[in-house]
Amino acid sequence: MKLIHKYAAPKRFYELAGTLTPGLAIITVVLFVSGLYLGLYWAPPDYQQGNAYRIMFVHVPNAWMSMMAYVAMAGFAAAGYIWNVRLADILAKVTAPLGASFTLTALVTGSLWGKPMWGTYWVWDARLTSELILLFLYVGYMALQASIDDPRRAAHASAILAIVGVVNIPIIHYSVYWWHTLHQPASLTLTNQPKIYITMLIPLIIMSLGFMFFYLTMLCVRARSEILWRERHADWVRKLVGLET
Amino acid sequence: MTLPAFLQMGRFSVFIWGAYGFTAIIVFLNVVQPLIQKRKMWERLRRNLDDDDGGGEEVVDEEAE
Amino acid sequence: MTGGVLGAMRAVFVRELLVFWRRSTEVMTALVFFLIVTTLFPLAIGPERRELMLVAPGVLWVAALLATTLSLNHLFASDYQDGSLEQMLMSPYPLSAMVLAKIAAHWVLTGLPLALLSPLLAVQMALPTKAIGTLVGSLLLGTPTLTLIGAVPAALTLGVRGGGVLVSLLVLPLYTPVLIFGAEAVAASAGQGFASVAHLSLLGAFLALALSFAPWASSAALRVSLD
Repeated sequence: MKLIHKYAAPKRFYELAGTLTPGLAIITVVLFVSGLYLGLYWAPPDYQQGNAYRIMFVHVPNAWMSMMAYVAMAGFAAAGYIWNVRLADILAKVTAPLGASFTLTALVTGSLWGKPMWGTYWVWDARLTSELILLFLYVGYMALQASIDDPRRAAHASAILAIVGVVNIPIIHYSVYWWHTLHQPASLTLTNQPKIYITMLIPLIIMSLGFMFFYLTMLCVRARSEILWRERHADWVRKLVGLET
Repeated sequence: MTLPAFLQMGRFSVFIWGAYGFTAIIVFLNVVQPLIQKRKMWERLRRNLDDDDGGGEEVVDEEAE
Repeated sequence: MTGGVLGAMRAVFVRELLVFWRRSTEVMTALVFFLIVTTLFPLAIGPERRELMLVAPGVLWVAALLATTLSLNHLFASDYQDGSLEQMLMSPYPLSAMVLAKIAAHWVLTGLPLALLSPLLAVQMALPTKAIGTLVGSLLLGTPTLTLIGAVPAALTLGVRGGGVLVSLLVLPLYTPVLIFGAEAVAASAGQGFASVAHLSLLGAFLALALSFAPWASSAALRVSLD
């Protein structure tokens, strides 16, 4: 009886995620398609940046998501550490690669936006610099996860790291902004954008929602695999695989 | 607007399509990698615990997709 | 009880100093590393004083930061191997207090000599004389923060394969604020002379924050690693 209770939560999430995934995937696709149409075609060119500002519709949502994913990861990790919820451990672990890929995309698109704006691919812009440090934090988290074999210890160790990281992120963020304003040459920055018009805001919001639903979809898919693997000795998994009927 | 003009994006085609293309690749990899991982894992689960084939096979495939 | 905790902390502190003293090569490694890295820079950049002066605050701070990172591996490793960490875990006093004493001893043996040695290297790097005081001050405030923050990854990676490299990977992103303000304080006082007070007080704030947070986090990390 106790055993059943112990396995109940991950199993129920496995089923719930299974039913949710197709719906989330459809919403993601719809948001991406309409966001791309609005961002690339419907929105008029900016009078200062021309068409180059359209990179914003992929850069900014990824930058937002990279931060949100880190906070979500630390939240899941803390829940798993404090209350010993194994589902939270799993969600934290599978969030890390997604967050890292958002961070990488934000970095690359930011530097591709920088080239037409600054004339060079890399400027120590405050946002790009803090994204780079965030990427290092994600890489460290994943490296720690990967180097510990015991899943419980890996989850707890990386949870402590994620919590320390999330306490540090605001400090890092503001240090970098302060450092940047001190050394800022009199030139353009990404933050020095022209006023945001409603025609820019609509595609931006839709693309951001698209990336958020993309995150949720892939979170479900990845968490399902992880649950199945961790519970591989449980009865319900053996039944699912077709060993016990 | 004609298609070539659209693709040209003013004079920023390289950067814009580069940024969107990179994003698309990352999104694509993020979709494909878990699916490959899932398929491999299902195979391992089935092989590791393999006692009787056949009966449960169809149920398994339904769940895997 | 409070007196008991303080007494136990002092015992740990003294014991650490004695143990470290016996393994003085490990203590010296960080210091020698600091010395050699700063010596390499003029060889790479060129002997011109104006150029050296420009990069001196950054070079000195990065070298100090790397030397501290290098020494982190010795913080818990030997106690983990000989089992004295587990004994510490079972002692009636809070683990975080014991950890704080250990970190303090570690800093006295690595961070403090580093800060005291820095004027010599500052001269080598052609840093203006008026900035040397700020350099020592910023290192005195900054290196304990570095050791405190670094104790968490050092505790997390105990007994983990590839632990040494992993510690630097985990800890360096967390060091950026200290590096920014430390190097900036030195650069500011090399320039105008007054502006460094604000940076130094921010370094002090970081130290206070790390003092309240790091012992707790690293004792939690030790519990996970020894579980």
